Amino acid sequence: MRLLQRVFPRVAAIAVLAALGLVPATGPQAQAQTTAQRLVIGIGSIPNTPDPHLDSTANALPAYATIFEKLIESDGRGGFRPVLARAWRLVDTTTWEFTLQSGVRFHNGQSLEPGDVKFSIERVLNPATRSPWLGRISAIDRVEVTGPSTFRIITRGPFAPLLQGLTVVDILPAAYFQERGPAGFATAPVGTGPFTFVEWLRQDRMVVRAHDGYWRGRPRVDEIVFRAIPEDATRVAGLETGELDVAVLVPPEQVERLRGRGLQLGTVNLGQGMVINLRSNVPGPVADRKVRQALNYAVDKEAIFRSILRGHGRVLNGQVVGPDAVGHNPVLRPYPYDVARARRLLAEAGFAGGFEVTFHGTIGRYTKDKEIEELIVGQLAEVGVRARLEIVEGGVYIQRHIARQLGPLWTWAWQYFPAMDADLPLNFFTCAGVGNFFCSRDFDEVLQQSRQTMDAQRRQQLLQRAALIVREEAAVLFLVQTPGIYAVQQRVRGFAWRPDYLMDLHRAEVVRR
Amino acid sequence: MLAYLGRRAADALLAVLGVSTIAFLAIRLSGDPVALLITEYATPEDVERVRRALGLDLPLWQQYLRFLADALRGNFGESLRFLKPAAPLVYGALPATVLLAAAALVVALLVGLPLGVLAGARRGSLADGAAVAVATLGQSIPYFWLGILLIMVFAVHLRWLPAFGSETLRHLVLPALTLAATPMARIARIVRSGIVEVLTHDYVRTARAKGLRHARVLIHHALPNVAIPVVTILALDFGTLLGGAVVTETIFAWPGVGRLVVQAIQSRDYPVVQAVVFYLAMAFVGINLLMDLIYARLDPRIRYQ
Amino acid sequence: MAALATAFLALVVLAAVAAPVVSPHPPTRQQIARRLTPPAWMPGGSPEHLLGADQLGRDIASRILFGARISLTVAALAVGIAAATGVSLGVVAGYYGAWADRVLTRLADIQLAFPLTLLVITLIAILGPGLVNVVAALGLGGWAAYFRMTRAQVLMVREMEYVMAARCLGVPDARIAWRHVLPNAISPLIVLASFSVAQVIILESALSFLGLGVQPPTPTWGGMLADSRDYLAIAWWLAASPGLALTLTVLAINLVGDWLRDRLDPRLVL
Repeated sequence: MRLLQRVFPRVAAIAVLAALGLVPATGPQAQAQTTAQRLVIGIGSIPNTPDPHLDSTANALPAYATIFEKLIESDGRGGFRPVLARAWRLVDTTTWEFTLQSGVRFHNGQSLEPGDVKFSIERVLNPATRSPWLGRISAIDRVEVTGPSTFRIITRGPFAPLLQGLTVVDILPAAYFQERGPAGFATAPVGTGPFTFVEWLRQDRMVVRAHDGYWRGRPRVDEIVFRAIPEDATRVAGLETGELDVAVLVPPEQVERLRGRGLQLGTVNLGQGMVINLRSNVPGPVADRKVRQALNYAVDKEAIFRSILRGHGRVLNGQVVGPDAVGHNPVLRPYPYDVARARRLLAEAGFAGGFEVTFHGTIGRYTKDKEIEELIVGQLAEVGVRARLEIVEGGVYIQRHIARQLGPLWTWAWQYFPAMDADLPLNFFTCAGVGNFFCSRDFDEVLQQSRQTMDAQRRQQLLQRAALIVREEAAVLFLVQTPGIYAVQQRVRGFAWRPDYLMDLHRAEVVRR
Repeated sequence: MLAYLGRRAADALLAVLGVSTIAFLAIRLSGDPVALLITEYATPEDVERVRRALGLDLPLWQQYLRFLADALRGNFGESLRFLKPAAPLVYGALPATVLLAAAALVVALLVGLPLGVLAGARRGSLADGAAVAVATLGQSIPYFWLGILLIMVFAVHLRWLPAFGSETLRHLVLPALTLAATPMARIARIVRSGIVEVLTHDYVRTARAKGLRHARVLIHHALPNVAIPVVTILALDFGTLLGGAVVTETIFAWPGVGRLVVQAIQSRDYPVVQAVVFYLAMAFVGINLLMDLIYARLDPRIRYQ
Repeated sequence: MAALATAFLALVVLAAVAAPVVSPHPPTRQQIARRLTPPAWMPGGSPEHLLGADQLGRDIASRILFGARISLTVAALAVGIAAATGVSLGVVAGYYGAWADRVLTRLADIQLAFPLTLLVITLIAILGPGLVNVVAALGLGGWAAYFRMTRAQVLMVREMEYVMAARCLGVPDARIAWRHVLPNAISPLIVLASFSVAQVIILESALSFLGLGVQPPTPTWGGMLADSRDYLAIAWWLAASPGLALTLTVLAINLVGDWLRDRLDPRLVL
């Protein structure tokens, strides 16, 4: 008790001082004034590791893109922009030749050479690396260096979506990496990007600093801090207190209020189509095309778009990608909301009295997912379909999807960023697709053809035909292209979030008042 | 004494082994951990390859033996999510949580103790009612709710404190308050009932009759008597605090063990779960052992058997 | 105070039982056009929705009433399972001693070494979410406290003369346990149970926050509260009603628990 009596007053004093906020402020607000151009971005999570080949979560993409660069990137209009590759051409149906930009240097001074590209692609291809990106470029057979700034990529058979695959492979410095090893590289990663690595604290923050010698010109901000803030309410609060300059994935219902509080609000339609997947390759009501169409007619997509998303995002045009993707079919329209027609189709299929079905859902995985799911359950009930909603936690969701243990109905968002190409999602609609749930010989044939068609226009047409089959078969219940809503302080200029999930940070600046 | 300690240590070891075994089984039974390593775009060959690389294709008992052998050497394998050894990951995140929990306990004591003394000393009065209500309120509010409320009031509205993060002492205040609510309530209740009981004892009455001031009687005679139950609760509450930390750390973006473990459980990152469980069990058993020794100090009637 | 709390609890139970009769709307009926309707007394409110409507246009008052049903049922069942398991094992361990005691005590230690919240999250990760699984997880997660308390009481009572006498007379063990040992242990158990009911209600809300609780659209107070957090700044009434219902109920249960303890066993530390 003696000890308690002696220690108590001191601890008490400290705690009371702290509680009253009298302990000197050294928080972000205070620091913001001393550092001229510091941009603090609040995002749900930061990369799991500074090594860009090892994490494919969407939130990791913009953070990696500050330090590392790819050969090419999507131009948002169906084509590709040069990044580290200056030019590329098809030599024959299995050989691509690339020319690198000249004068590009890594942060450590080393100049970019074809060997670095070869190393990076081979590292992703090596199963021992455990790169989640492997599947996207697994058609690559080998990379050959052909000159001081040229190299060739040779695929196993004709493979049209090669460029799409290359939009995810970050180019690392081969010599530096081999010298430091994977663990050493992860503590001091080096790339060619506009920012250099400063600090990475697990589940907390990643800090990068402007690279003076960046080959496309030094960025305007001096420092960028990515803060991992999983809870939406906290992220929004951080904006209001001024601790954050930017917050992404702001809930739609907060938009009006935050605008009223003097923040700039922006929305981008992210490259992902939110749908309810329908398992049609196992016996049951959902195996019947009429039932799947009825489900599509029974759900009011406009209500989801207007009421829950508050006019952000857009209703999918009866396909899993938006008009910003290669392979979007401009002729297709959404299934209209038509309860009578849904009932008629159900009756024709022999389910006039409706049926009961399991509906696996998510919470916090996609924007407003739980509310959208609850709304759909209510609307399906109107036509007699009794959907039992069952929320599955995040970690096992993909696993159960792959193991075909979800459904017959389950929420899903088909990502087509960063390549912005329909091939990526449609690949999973084939009879042999991973976690496949739909099977149509016609579809398989068309998609297979598209993957081997090197002519861009012809390939686009084939993808559009594949989309048509998916709509006619009602392979999924089409919903919306999900919005990426972000809020930015008035003092920040030139920031934008892009459909391919990357951020325009090169031209962003913090204006001092 | 030594024999007693030996037996306790043996028991402790058994408990740690048991907890680790249960964690091992639980995590295997709950689904295929390979899922974490693959995106929705992985091929079946990807999945198979990873499974073989991790030894997940072996029979369960072989995996268990492997796990035990490695765990004894402090090796829990690589985190599937972070691709780093799990053990350093866990003790790297530990200080943040310990700091948070310790701060919460201090706050809980600072508020709970006076509240309990006040309520107990003036039993049945209005002050007692109010103190009990405050204490109970602390036990009745979900963590996430209290956390968001505190952020809205003290960060957004009053601008006194930061809304998230863990850089300075100021960042500690709101999460510590959030986490303190439950133990504060428990301490207040225990102190109250302790004081109520003590005040009926003869020696206290005598002290009072001798004209000692009420406050003096409380501090010198009543408080020492509630020390044992308070210490017990502090020890027991460490587990509760870690549970609360899961939610509190998520709300305040606090990079601690709570967030690490709940994400690990959800994503079947079993090396991390096993490491956390192992260290946690060790800590708990250690604390219990310590408590036994403290009891003996505080109360000479307790004998080692 | 205790009388007031008891009255309030009675009211909550009554509301839960009568929910289908007194609810103005079905709790899951969505009227999307009425989403975020404020309570009746506020501008923009409607007499049809006394406490307003939620983010999907469901009547909050009806959801509170039905939520009382689910939340109380979950709590009662979970505590029931925990108590039944803990008490019977406690009697076995305390009465028979020997290896059963050693094994069970060790099991209880193991259980207590694992924070309840984490244990429940792990169990739900294995079982999957859903009403039944939440009850099972909360029930299985809570047995150790009952076990310890029962065992301690049994150890004490076992040595008392009348139990010894009964034994000598050849009364069967089960009968002794039931007739003589248990009644002596009952009062601290009741107090413990009253506190764990409150704890379970709070824990269910934490599970809902993490998305692991009772599944939507089934209304529970914790779930409603968790859903409301995105709307706190623009529609406070989504949070106010379930928050108030939950807090007041837990408060009332705790107060009744306090009163019971003071009456039955004032030395009990809880």
